[in-house]
Amino acid sequence: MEQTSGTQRLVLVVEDNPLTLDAVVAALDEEGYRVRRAVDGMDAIGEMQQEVPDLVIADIHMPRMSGGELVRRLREWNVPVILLSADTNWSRTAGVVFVPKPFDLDHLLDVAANLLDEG
Amino acid sequence: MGIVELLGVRSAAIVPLNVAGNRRGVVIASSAQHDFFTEEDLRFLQAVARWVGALAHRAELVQQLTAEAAERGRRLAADELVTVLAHDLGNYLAPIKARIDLLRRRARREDRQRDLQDAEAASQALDRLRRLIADLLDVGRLDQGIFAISPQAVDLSGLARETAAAFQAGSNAVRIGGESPVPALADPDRLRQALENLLSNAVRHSPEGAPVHLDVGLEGNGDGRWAVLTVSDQGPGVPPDLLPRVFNRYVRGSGSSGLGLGLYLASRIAAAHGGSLTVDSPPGQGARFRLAVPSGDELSGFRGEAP
Repeated sequence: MEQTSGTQRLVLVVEDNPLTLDAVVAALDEEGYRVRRAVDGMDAIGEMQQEVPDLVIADIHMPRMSGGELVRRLREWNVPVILLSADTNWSRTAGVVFVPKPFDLDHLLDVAANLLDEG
Repeated sequence: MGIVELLGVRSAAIVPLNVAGNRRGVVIASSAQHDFFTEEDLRFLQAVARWVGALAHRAELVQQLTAEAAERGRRLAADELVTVLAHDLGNYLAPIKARIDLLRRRARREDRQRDLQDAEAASQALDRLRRLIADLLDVGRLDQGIFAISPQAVDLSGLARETAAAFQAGSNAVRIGGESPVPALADPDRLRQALENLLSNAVRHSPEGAPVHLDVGLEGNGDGRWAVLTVSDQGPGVPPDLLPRVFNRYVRGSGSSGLGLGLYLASRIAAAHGGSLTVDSPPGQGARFRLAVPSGDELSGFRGEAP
């Protein structure tokens, strides 16, 4: 069953806006995913070192680490990445899926489910 | 009595003063004596004029470079400001939208129809606000001269189908006709934005249930080949007094509820591609908007990529 596999998948959400972070975490939680959270790039790398997730959903413009550096570091783990940002300059970044903000939750969850199925 | 007599000028040597090949004035030497200047004096004066011209040219180049650097700096600062603003506004809207979407998802799952309808209405209202903010940011980019497009090979008919799909759920269907594929050299995101604006304008002015026609094709004339999107509606048409101003910003027809930016931005997007947006609206026959961008058929390999 789809839901059963969903419960075992771990998603790391990296977002410096606590309101958005809470909303995304709530939605993923309701879909049956296990969720970890990070508030910036440095924090995210720390989380990655503790437990490698099946998917990362990350904002781009956050304190303490540039978007480019975060994407470069995340690539080292070979984990699918969704970039969630209002800055469309990142929309053609290689090797990641870009979802523009403000995002459509159904769309974000579809993209996440597809990436997890592929992985 | 003239200045020449007042000064007691009896002879003069005059040579042109050129800066970077352009005549800017003359250098005059005068004397109270008749026939004072020799051929040698004239050559000396020419050398002085050349030297002054070269110095002036250098000074102007420095001035121009300084102005260009200042302009570049201003554009970078403006670009940075618009990017930060877009990011911040996105940060305000994202959590609201996500929570409304979450409510909608839950209402759908638990089959609570009235909550589902309310959540959908709230979501649509928020989408209108998001589009308004995006439009205003684009107006800012246009004002600051930092509105940029990234053209690439795109199939206009595919883009037209994708864009029209979002309108099919409404009360006015969008009927697509014309050729396929239609190769164009365009920025797909910007073109989609322009077409969305044209379609929502057409739908807004259409009678209930009347379809909007969207035609895609290639057109060739004296100045090259164009990939063309034509949007026609069966509404009352553009009032004659509005016609000359219909692509100006903040111009609204009687049925519009927005800020009057949609057609303005669509026309700026066409212009940024080196193309055009025109309207044809014979009284009582609806409005027909024609958006042309450069065709991409000279791009090798494009047809191979098209489905």
